[in-house]
Amino acid sequence: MKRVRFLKLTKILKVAALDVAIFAVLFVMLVPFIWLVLTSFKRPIDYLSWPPVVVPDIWTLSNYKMILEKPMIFNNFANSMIIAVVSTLLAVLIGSAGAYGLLRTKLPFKLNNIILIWILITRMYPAIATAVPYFVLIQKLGLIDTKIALIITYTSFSLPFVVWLMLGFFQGIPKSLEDAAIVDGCNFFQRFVRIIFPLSAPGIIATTILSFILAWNEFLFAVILTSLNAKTIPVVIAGFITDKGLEWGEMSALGVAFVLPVIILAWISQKYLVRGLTLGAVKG
Amino acid sequence: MFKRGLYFHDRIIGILFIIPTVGFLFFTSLYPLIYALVLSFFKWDLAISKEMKFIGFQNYIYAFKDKYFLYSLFITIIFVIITVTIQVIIGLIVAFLLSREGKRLRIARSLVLIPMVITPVVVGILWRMLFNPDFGLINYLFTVLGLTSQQWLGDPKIALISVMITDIWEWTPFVILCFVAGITALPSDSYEAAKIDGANNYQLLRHITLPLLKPVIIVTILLRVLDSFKVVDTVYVMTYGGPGNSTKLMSFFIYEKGLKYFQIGYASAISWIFIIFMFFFTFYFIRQRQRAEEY
Repeated sequence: MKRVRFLKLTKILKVAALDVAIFAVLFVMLVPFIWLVLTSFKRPIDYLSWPPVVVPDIWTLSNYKMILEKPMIFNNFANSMIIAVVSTLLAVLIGSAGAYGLLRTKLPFKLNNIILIWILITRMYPAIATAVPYFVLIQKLGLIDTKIALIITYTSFSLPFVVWLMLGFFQGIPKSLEDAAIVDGCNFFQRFVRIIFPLSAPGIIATTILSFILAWNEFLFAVILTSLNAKTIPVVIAGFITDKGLEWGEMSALGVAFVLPVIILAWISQKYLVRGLTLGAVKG
Repeated sequence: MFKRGLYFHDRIIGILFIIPTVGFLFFTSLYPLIYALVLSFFKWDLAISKEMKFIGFQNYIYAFKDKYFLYSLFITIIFVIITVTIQVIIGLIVAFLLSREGKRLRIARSLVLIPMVITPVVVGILWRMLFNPDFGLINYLFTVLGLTSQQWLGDPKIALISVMITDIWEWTPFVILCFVAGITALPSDSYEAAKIDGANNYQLLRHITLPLLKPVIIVTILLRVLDSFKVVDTVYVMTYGGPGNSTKLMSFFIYEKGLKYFQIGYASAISWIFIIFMFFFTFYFIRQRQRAEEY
């Protein structure tokens, strides 16, 4: 009797220890972000104080108000949104089509494999390596400080993993379905639109979300290729630092406002997001 | 006759499907790379004059004598090795904690996502706030624990560590999720057989779980290594390479040389040195993976 009780106790302790560990992990992961959110609602005397004030007595919306009053802020937000949406659409459509084309069309000189390997290679070097000549190229085309420049850039950033991810999904679809469609008289385009695309929905969702997040969050090329008109929010946020420094409240407010859409998006679609992110790691 | 027409038609459309992808990547990847290679053989300092002078391999020779370049390469390698190692160790432990069934664990897994979807720039300012010596939370925690407060971003000896901490916080979730996916995909039959044979938990872990996870671990490490080499957003916002040169990771160094000082020829050369370096690194890892699969 005593022994059973002892075993049950150790089991409860184990479960409890597990819970504590998980809670500790979540705590470390989330506290910085929670701190950011809290700061965005604090007055300067609260976020600059020592010892630090965790939860302020008086909450304020003035940081958010000041952000909304910033010149061009709506323009910048719109830029971020438009660029992210368009580049995502382009990347997913072009990438899916490209993946299917590469799968089902035999090119001469083993070009299929060469192209796929090249697509893989594009992930292997830092984008900054192409930034300088790319900047020169964009400048010569007169596309500096345009949304188009960033749209093209981000589309090409997302294309490689869209192609690889969708390729994996397409390969998972039994060829017999396509063969049946051929017998029924469907051409390449029809097969793609009516059969392959619908069956790869999870892959499409995953690539859409990942492409969007990539474009939304991108900073380096945004700061290189834009100055006034096509500026995106990440550039604005970084701009806070170099200006006169340290309007922490406003920066936090803008930061929270900017990451909130992505967090909500990631939360809603986390099943697909995780699948997409880890497909490379597990099957890759 | 009809079949041949359909086949030909299919082939044309298939090629049309491929062309946009290839076109995009040519324009934004292949062409700039080749252009960069060409530029690396020239001296072109746009800030000084518009003239380009052909100098052969001199940019490359200068790079290997440039102590700032070598130092940047050095700290970048250290950065990658340390951050990825810690991410993998923590990631593995947490992944085991999180990979059971249960609604609460599912919520936990989705909360864990947050650091890696936050814009890196925002991550940078967030941690810059936390690391602030005057009102930052980290120093406060230190004083509460009885340790001395530090100049996290102002002390050249510590600044790199601060950037590493930020990077680890930001990307460990990715590693955790990769490992969770790997763990949940493990076949259960090996476990059944081993348990019947009387294996305890530690033996299960060592002789079944970890070896089976090896491919996943290696791929995850590869992905993280490749991405760690590219870190620049957080550096830009947290330290801008400083203080001094202590956080000038390679991507930032190239950015500075090429797009701040406009030493375009030199920047192109060091870009290519970096690319070649990463290629060798990557091939070494792929060979490692092939060896792992042979088990």
